[in-house]
Amino acid sequence: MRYIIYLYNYSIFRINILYIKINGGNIKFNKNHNILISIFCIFSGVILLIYGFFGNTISFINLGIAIIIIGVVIYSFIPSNLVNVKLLNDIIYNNVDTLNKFVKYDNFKEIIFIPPYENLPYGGVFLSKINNANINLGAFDMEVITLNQKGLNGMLLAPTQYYKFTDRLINETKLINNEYDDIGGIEIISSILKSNGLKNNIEIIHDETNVENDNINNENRIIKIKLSVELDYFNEYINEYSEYDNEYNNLKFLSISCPICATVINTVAKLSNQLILVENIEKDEKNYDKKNGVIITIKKLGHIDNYLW
Amino acid sequence: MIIICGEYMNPKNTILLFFTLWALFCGIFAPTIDLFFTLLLIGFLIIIEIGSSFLKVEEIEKIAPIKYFLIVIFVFIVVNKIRTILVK
Repeated sequence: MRYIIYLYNYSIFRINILYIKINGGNIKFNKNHNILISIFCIFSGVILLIYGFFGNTISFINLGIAIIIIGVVIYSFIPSNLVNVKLLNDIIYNNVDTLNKFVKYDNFKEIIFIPPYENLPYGGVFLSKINNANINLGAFDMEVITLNQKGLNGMLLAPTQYYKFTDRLINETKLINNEYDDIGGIEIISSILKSNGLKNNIEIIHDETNVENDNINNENRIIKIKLSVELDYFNEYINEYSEYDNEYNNLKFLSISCPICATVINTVAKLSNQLILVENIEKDEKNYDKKNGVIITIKKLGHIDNYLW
Repeated sequence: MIIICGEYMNPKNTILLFFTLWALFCGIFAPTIDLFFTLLLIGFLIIIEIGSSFLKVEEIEKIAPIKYFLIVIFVFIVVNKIRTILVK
């Protein structure tokens, strides 16, 4: 046993142990070393195999094959950073239910996404109890929860829903540095979501009816986003609530409770730096898979500077 | 569990260590490639079966192709043996 431990201490496996460090409860596993070790194993295995094949030595052939298989096993043990979609579904299901009830039964009429600015560094969502709310961003703060002023009555959710996820996607893809517009941003983020298995399809329809020129960042610009999400509860809610057709039983609540919808709207808000009003969310009847698609209609209310004073 | 330098070894590394030792043992001492593959398959299946509770589903799915590859080779070996017996 002592020899095994001695062998272990000075073998390639020791590198793995050295790189598993517990920092503040998070176990960090170095991915690149596993890749390097597996490539090294496969490479040396191939050399041994060739050497054994030409020298007609069975032991070398066997060893070569063994080391190649060990390399493949090491490679398959590389931990993935992705979260299982079913696990995510189970974790956020309760959150969605709570937010849904919160929006529906408190008579909120408008959902307005606010991009990050000085008072709200992580952005926010304003749930207005009155239509055409007279937004004054100076009244908002990280401490504010409810507002009851003339023309500004409702509740502020700050930081905005799933802001961390949005920030990670935007930072990882370096969208801000590359100066993408919001639509280009959504298209790039959609491809990341698709590669992670979180959504099937995303499509952006530009409503040209109220556009004066080609500037995409125009105020009052209406954008329709077709979206389908690979989460069980999403499908469940769409089928349940699309049957009703009254003021409060629409799917607007999905814009804050569904992580994908919230991320998409957050991205538009953040990249265009405009306030975004969620006009409507409806079931997409013509969706190609005909099950879990929605059309999100959002309206750009104008640049953040217009609402500061 | 193996204790190295006063710490419990990661179960994944333990699985890897035992598999490596078994594979190297078989590689050095097996007189033929057929026997080597058969022993490797047996060892691999036992180690994965015992260690599967420490592995994620994703990792087991990643290892599955190796298992199928070894089983296919094992089937070839068995068919070849039957063929040689029948020819004799």
